[in-house]
Amino acid sequence: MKIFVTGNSHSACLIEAWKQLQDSSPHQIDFFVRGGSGVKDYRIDGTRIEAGNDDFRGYLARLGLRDSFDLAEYDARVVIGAEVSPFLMIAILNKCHVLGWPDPNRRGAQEITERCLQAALADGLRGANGGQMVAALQALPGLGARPMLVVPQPFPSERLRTMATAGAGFLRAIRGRIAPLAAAGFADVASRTFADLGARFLPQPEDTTVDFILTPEAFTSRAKRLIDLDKVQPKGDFLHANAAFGARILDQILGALDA
Amino acid sequence: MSIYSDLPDRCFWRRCLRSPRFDFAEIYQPTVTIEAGEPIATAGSCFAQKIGRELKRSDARFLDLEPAPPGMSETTATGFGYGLYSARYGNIYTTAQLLQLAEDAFSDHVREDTLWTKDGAWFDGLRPRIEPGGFARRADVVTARRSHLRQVRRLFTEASVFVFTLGLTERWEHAETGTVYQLCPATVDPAFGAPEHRFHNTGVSEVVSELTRFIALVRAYTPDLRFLFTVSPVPLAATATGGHVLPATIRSKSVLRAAVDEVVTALPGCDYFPSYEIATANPLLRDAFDAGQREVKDEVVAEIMTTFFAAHPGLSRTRTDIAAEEPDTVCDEILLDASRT
Repeated sequence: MKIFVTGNSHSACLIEAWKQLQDSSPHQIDFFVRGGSGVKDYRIDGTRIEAGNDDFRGYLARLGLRDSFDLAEYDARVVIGAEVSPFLMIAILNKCHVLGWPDPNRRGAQEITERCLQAALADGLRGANGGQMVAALQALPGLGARPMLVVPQPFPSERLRTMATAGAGFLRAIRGRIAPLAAAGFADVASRTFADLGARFLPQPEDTTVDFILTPEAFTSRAKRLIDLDKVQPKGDFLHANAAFGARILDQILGALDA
Repeated sequence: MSIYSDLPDRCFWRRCLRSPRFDFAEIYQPTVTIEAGEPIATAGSCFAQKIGRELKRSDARFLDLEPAPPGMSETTATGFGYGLYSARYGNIYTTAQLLQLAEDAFSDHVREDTLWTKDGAWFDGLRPRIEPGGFARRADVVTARRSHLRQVRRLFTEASVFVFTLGLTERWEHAETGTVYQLCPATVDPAFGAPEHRFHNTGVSEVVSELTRFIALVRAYTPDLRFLFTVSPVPLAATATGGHVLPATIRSKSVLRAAVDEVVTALPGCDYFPSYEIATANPLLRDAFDAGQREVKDEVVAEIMTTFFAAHPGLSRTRTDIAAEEPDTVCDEILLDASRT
């Protein structure tokens, strides 16, 4: 099976895992990725997608990746990260309190209904670069029936418990006992939103989470940088996952494709 | 020599007619001036949304104390009543509604006769369209309303200028409690109708009284708050008087216009901006409305706001573009049309 993967820095863990497997795998995976929000500078012509400028072509060349693909040759497409992120949910919960949820609204945050939360999250996912990429890839002629998977940015590392400033919203959700609702709500809305776009959302595997909305240290320590896979992320990083996590995601992708 | 001899050109119809743009540069000399960075709040009938939209594109500080949740698109937000005004109160058509909102906000009062239910869902009868599908529980409506009233209190105490567009004199109220509704409850949904709901058409003295009490109440908390009033040029979608909608419209707008005049003449720190006149009695723009003759054309709104900004030299437009996703104005009265079709 030939699989096309596009996404942002969260592709790094998958690339690492794939490197360890590719020689023995019957499958082929090609990556079209860029750090930050994901791939934006691209051109589509028929079923072809390619880097849209020299800057991006140079970026891909530095990673040793191709800059042009005919997606008609691929059996499946995968979008990873690219702003499809539980941070979208936490950004809403940072500003609002959901009526009926068990955490007390001590901050006097604006009250919203769960329906409102879902509507905002769905809009956020559609507007994310990943959502737009799904829509763009799904619009390619003749490829609509081929599977398209969406893999979210992982939950942040449990390391953030020790950090003074980062990820306060995640920790507040855990303390307020709404983490299960947040995790389930994110997966539910993302599943429905991407199903509407013709894609299948793959929620983060439960065995790679702790407290519902964090990723254990075992899956985040020594995470590599997309721009230089020989280097680990800076010390303060709590966003990226490692090759062990990438292996779990790879299993999940291949399982979903029945490959 | 006549008393008219020394009057400026703007006082004479013929001279205005000879002047570019009917001498609109002279039509509005604000006594309530607005400077860049000043916090401005808006409320009123649906025409006020257009004014608010333009103020958002200026260097005034448009207060939005109940913003849409992060990520929500403008179109979705509009459906949930976000972004229309400075708080999520929806359209406030009457001065009675405005007074009631301020009274409820400062007394943290949730009215029992505004908690409506249908098919297991609950609705806030004072802003029934802000939550599509309603609230899941009665307690949720109450909590949401209290949260809203808290923001309305903030609004009245943080704003420097409050812009209000008067829309209607016809209103629906509860015969026993006096609660004034945004819309005829039975028109929102037959399930919300009740025998106690009655129609009332206010006169000038009532509007003056309500507006005066509103200003006094808010100024008890924010003595320096200034008020800028406009009258909506949008005709009535329907009248409950049983009479013809045209005289009912003129009656309604005349009452509001006369009442505002009394208020701004009597009270310091209150002013009137003649957007109503520019849209409805402008000899250069006889065709100010769209094909349905209710929606003011964009170019007329632009003319109105050009006049407004020209009169406030301390304020300037920071964006003149029209957003690609600009939502339609939310006019609840459209429900009245829908109920007949």
